[in-house]
Amino acid sequence: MKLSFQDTKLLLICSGALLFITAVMFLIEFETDRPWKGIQRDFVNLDQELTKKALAEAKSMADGTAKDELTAILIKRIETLDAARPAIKQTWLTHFDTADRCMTCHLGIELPRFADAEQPFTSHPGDHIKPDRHTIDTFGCVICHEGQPVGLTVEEAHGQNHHNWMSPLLAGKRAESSCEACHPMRSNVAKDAVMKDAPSFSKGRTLYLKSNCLGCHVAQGYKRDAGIGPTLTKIATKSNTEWITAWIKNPKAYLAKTAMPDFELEPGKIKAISAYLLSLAKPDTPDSTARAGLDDTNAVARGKEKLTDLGCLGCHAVDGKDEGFGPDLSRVAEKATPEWLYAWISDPAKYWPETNMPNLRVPGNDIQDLVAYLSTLKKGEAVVASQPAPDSALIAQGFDLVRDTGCTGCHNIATFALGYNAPPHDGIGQKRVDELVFGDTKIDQTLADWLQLKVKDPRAFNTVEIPTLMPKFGFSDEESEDLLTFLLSIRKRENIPADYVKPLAVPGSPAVAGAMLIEENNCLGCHKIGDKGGTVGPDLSFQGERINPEWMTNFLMSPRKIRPINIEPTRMPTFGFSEEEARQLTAYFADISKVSYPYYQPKQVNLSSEDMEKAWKIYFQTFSCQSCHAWNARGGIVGPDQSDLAKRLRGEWVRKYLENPQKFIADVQMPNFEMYPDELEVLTKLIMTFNEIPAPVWDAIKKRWDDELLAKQAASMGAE
Amino acid sequence: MTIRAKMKSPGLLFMATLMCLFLALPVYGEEKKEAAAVAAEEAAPKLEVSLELGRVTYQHYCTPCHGVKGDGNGFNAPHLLVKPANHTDSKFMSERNDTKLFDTINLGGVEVAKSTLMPPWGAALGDEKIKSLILYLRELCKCQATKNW
Repeated sequence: MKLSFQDTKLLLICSGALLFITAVMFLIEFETDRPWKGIQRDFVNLDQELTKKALAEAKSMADGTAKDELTAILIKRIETLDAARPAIKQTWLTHFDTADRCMTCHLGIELPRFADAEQPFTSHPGDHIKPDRHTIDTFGCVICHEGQPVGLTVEEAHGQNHHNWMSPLLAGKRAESSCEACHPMRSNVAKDAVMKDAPSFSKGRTLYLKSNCLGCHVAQGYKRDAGIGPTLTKIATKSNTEWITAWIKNPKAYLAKTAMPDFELEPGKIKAISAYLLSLAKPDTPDSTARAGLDDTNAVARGKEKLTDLGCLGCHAVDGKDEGFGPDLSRVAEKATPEWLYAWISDPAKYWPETNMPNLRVPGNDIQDLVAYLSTLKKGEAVVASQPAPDSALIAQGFDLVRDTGCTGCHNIATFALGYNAPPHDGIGQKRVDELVFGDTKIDQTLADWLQLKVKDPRAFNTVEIPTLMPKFGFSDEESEDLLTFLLSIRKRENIPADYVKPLAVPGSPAVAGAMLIEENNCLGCHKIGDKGGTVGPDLSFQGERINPEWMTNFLMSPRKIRPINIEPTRMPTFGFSEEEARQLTAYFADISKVSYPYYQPKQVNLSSEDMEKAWKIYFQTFSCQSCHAWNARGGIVGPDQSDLAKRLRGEWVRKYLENPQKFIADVQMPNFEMYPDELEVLTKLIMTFNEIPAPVWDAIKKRWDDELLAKQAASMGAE
Repeated sequence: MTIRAKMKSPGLLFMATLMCLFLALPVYGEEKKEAAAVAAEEAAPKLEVSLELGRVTYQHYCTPCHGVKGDGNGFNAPHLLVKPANHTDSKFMSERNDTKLFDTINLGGVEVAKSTLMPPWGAALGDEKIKSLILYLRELCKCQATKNW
């Protein structure tokens, strides 16, 4: 059969129409089948269900306006949901020049009733999304969670598991890595500072800074420590081959919490490093002063007592329970010679200028006792410390190894300056996956997986072609996760508008600068602030309202003994604070006590002669203060000398303290005299004039009251 | 009400006479102790009275004047006009019954016609520690009260 032209035309039109209809149907089908539409339908269904349930509950309520209002709201919501049509939801983030469409699927993000719903409808945890904190309108989701905010499928929007996506989603605690962009926490706040709602980031940051990652890696805004490890230039005067080699081989075997990592060096290389280090100085010749107490059991016993009395245990432990600030001393005799210990305790900064160890200001015989005790602290059989004969080839090999291994990231060694031995960390939180070497590992090829394995097992990506120098720090799984959170925070984010930046603490403010000094010098090793810290020294929580700021600044710069040695054997050592640091600390104490700084003017004391007489009677007779307190060394030695008390203490505080000493120092040996207000008043005033009284006047007054007391005593003896 | 607020401040002689009366009337003494116990309970958590607590308390608060051995030769003793009591003197200590010891520690020397150099410890220490101190004092003097005066 031959088709006519008409028939052909008809057939073409028909098949064209059919094709067109099919295409249209296919397009309609494709459009309605977009995954986000299905998700929105599911959301509407879920919300209908939740709302109907709430409505049923509302109807069972007692009649009243509350019931009517709630019912009306819920019925309105059901109507709105009935009328809901699928639509892409989008916020335009003007400042960041991007659209954020995440809430197209995450529809319950701001609705508390979806707290228990499953993803993607779960409401946001915590109280981060609040009008006074972050709102979806101004932050969207992308500012904190990254990802591709215009994507409308899980794969495109999250970009989590495919290594080609530039910014994978930061879910869960990884989102904490974004906080720092607007709430800067670099080296301008203390290492152990905590961002309240970013615990993983804060822990990771502390770990990063305390492990001295900055010794080898440079990162913008982060300042490296002057020397986290001691200078090694004069180690020949301190230690021996046996200890040095054992230490380098496995530092944690000697100090469980040391920051020194494991370089996984072969024994031959360790021997060479040790030979080089010991060649840098001559060992000390045995010195009779340093060794005076050795093998003397009395000196050893005294030294043990002094270790406690002098407050050494504020930073050091001797029971193997290493606190981590100062080294544990339970095996110190294996490491250090008596000569070195003696010189070190006498003046730590002489050996290592950057050390945090303060000067204890103790006389030579006390140091001898300490050295005698410390020299008994070793494990097992005594090792014979030897100094090997110099071997120039070995020393030369050691020199090369010290240069190339990365020792100089933490240690000052002779001619080597502290150096950065590893790639910078700037932008590490947004490093491209194709820049990373995965070696032979089988992990997911994403930045997060790479970083987490890198900190946990630095040499996991080693290949013959690309060896790694990074030593092993022995971080736990949890620590590695926190470090990952922190490392992801090191991103270049230049598009943050100035009005988004809200520092949580003002850098350089008393609160921040003081906290940094407190941390750096481990003040909490001995002192308490709030509910944290040790009990060796006085509680610092209320020193701002207690101490005259001028006196405090001077005391911090050159501390001296205040309380009599019999009552308080510990003394504040000299930390060598500069005037600026001392003022920062004084301001910090004022800050935590909520008193003004630096303006403090002691009140002028006016006492009528009648009140003065009353006050003297209270001082010398009613409460007999002189039995425990001296004035210019005249009187008791249980409490502090009171001659300069007016310069040291604030008058308002003296009054408060006299009222109830145990309120401030629970176990103080000062009784609570339950003074009456008028007694408190005149006694405080009297005490605050003590620095102005000439010695002869004091002596005359004291004699008068002494005579009276003796007369009364004689009379009462007679009566008895 | 504070411990001190409960006392009047009569002259020493009057006080001494009054004290004798107090001690002669055990019923009154009981009442007084009860009142003091209530005050101490308000101030501090309840402690168990024990010899050990007495020893620790003594070492911390009393030794500066009364000495580590309790013989009245503490490091602060040379600075006092009146020598502190020797707690190892069993004759001296056996002449003082527990009520008297309690009052001396609680209210201070002046309230038992002794010197003002012995301060009142009641408000700082509380009942249980003072009772424990008495147990320890009896251990120090190796004595009991011989007469109830």
